[in-house]
Amino acid sequence: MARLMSFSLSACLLLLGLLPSLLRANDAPEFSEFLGHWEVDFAASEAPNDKLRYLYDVTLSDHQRRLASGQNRIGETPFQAIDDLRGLVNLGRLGEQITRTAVLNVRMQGNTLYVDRDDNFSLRCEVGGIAEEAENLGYSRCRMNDRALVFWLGLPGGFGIEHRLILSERGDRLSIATTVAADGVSQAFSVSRVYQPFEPVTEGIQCQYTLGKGKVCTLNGGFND
Amino acid sequence: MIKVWVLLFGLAGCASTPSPAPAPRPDEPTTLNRASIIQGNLAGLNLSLTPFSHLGGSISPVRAELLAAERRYLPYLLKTTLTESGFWGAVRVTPGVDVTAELNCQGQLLAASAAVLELQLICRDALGKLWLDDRFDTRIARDAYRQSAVDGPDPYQGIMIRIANRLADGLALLTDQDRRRLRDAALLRYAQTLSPEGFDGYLAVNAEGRMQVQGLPAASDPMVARVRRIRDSEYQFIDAMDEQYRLIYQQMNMPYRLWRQYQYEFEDYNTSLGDRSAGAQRRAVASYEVMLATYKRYQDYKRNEDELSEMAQSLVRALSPTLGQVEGQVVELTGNLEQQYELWRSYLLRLYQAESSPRAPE
Repeated sequence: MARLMSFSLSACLLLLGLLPSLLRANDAPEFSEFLGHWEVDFAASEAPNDKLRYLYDVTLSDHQRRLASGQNRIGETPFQAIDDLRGLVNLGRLGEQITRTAVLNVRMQGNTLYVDRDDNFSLRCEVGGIAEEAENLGYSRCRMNDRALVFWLGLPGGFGIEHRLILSERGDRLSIATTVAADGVSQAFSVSRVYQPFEPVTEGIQCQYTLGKGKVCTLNGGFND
Repeated sequence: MIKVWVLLFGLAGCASTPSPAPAPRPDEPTTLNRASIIQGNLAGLNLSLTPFSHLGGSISPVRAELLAAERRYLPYLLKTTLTESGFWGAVRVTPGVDVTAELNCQGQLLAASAAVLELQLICRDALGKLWLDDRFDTRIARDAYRQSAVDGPDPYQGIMIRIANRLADGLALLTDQDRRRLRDAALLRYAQTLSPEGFDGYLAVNAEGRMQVQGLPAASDPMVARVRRIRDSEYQFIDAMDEQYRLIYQQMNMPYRLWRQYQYEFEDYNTSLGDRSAGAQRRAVASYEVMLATYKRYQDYKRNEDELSEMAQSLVRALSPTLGQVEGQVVELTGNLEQQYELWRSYLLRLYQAESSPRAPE
């Protein structure tokens, strides 16, 4: 009997221990939790150039170590290693170009989630609709993966970009991890930017169309003309 | 590492399922027929166009959004061509069939992409006679977008010129008496929408199924004077609606052209990439300049798409309220273009009925 009680207690403790992770598995954020205006938090974000320098150093020393110890991959020559490093630098430079977004507006229109970026085109995701879209210029895809909303874009010429949006547990930070990868470059380049919510200022301009006068706009909604 | 695929291209541009008809060839250069001074001095018939409908079918939500903008842009492009021809009176784009117009045209968009435009156009006059029920299609020449990028004609202009010329040919067959009859029929049809009983019997369908003017009310008839007055208010509102379509057209003009140009260029680019060996592609991608240029081009394409999409979304949202003044009363109309048009028409109908009622309106 004592053994049975001890076993039950152990099982209960085990279940209690697993409970947070079980809850978390079903606790993936809804699309609606991403909605709102977000501005970059520079202090919490990675600097692409620093990240690139670090990756360059690591990759270079890796190549040097393998070449020195004769463990280079089949057919790999020092020239190819240089090409690979050059490719990584190019990915990093491109990554720096496409992660300059300072302000985001995440909104829903019908069944589509839009991530409007102040310096770039909007990312779109169909909720419960087509997850993959073949465009005549490339290939785009989005999906909810565990806690992340993932946008993926394949472009002509053999390179791809992934934006992985992850909401913090408290919902007060949004991280966007951007990865750029290309055929012929041994590793991808990733950089992460963190955003915090903000309330935009409303303009308070109201317009009416008058058949006689055309469009008439006033500040703060007054029409005492 | 992310696996990079480049898949089939050239699918997203079509507005509908492809037609079994052979692909159209590039347009022959077409010249717009213009009215001579004598023709221009004739009192022209009014022609109204409604936003084009489009075939349903499986299209992406993004494409569906853009279609909402295209189906308003294209009739306005046709309108500008018809106006330029000088054969017509007022040419307007209206949210619904315009009962005041002598000729109404409705289009259906069968396919619209950077390279191909296919549409079906049906035009009927106020007597119900079919002027046109034809399919028009065109394949846009490779360099048309580059030539038109700054200030040139829209690459879809050729198809609009062909339609305008066809309609001008139809108009040339009318005698002065035919024109007068059409104007009378348009007024009577409008009067019937306001008061079916009051204007019953003036229009009748003959043995061939054609509508005919049986007679006209006296010019001094106060009911006719009232109809004309209400119709003037209707014209005022239709002109205001037309102005809204003009704004849409102007705002769309540049992003829509650029969007189509990028679409065309990428199709070419993809084709050329497909022709290269994998090794050549790999070498190309090692270049930062090539990657950046590809991304920038895609970025420009998507930004234009965003702009068009935002425009399309705003079309279905409520517009700014429209204030109209009729017979001393101020009317405020709310909703989108179509809703405002319906509200205005129901208001004019109520106004006419109130004036016709023996009791003074409350």
